[in-house]
Amino acid sequence: MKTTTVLITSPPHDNARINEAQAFLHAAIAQGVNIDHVFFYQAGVYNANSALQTTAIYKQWCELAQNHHIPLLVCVTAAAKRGVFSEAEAAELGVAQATLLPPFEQVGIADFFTRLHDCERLVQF
Amino acid sequence: MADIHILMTNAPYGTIDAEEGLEFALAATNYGHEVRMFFIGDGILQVLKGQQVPDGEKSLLKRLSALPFFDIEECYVSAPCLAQKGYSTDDIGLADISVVSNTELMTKLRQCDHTVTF
Repeated sequence: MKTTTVLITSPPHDNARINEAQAFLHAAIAQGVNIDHVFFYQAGVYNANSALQTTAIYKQWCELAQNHHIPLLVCVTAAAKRGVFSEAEAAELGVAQATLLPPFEQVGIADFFTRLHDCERLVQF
Repeated sequence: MADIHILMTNAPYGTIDAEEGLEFALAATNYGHEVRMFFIGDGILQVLKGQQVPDGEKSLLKRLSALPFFDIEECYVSAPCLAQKGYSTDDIGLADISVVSNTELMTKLRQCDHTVTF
């Protein structure tokens, strides 16, 4: 099946872009578009910052993942640079607090490019 | 395999966009995709000679010069954007880059599977 991938390079406080991205995803899902995953790169990784978990935007990401089974994949390198990292990384770094929690997942950029081979359309916000 | 066109729209060094755009391009080609680079707006500054590389940073121009070794052979820079900033083709520090008009750039840019902007 032909798939669509969404690339997020904007931070959560770029309201227009992120609201648009989430609206796009809901509309696409409603029309039966197969969304392969959402990949967070550059400042997009800030969307995964668990310190934002009480915000509407963060909750919307979680809803997309939990209700519509859309993988939320965060580039581990881009995220680490920006202080967004999982429990495992926090332990390695000797930092008390992880800032990336499920449903967000850390992956290498290799995963994004590997999946892109089977992707018909890439949309960037 | 996808044809991926990367649009570079920011100046080097001041923000991380040029560096991350380049890393994205290199990763794309490393994982089997075809990549072409397009420099417009402030992005044209990335291809100019005489860059003052800040301490602790790597020269972006040197890294761009090595693109052919990573199978990225087609680079395009906007002629109007160069002129608008008062630069000419003599100021370009990258060999084998095509200087193109807006029409040529837009035509070429569209001939791909995916476009990503940095």
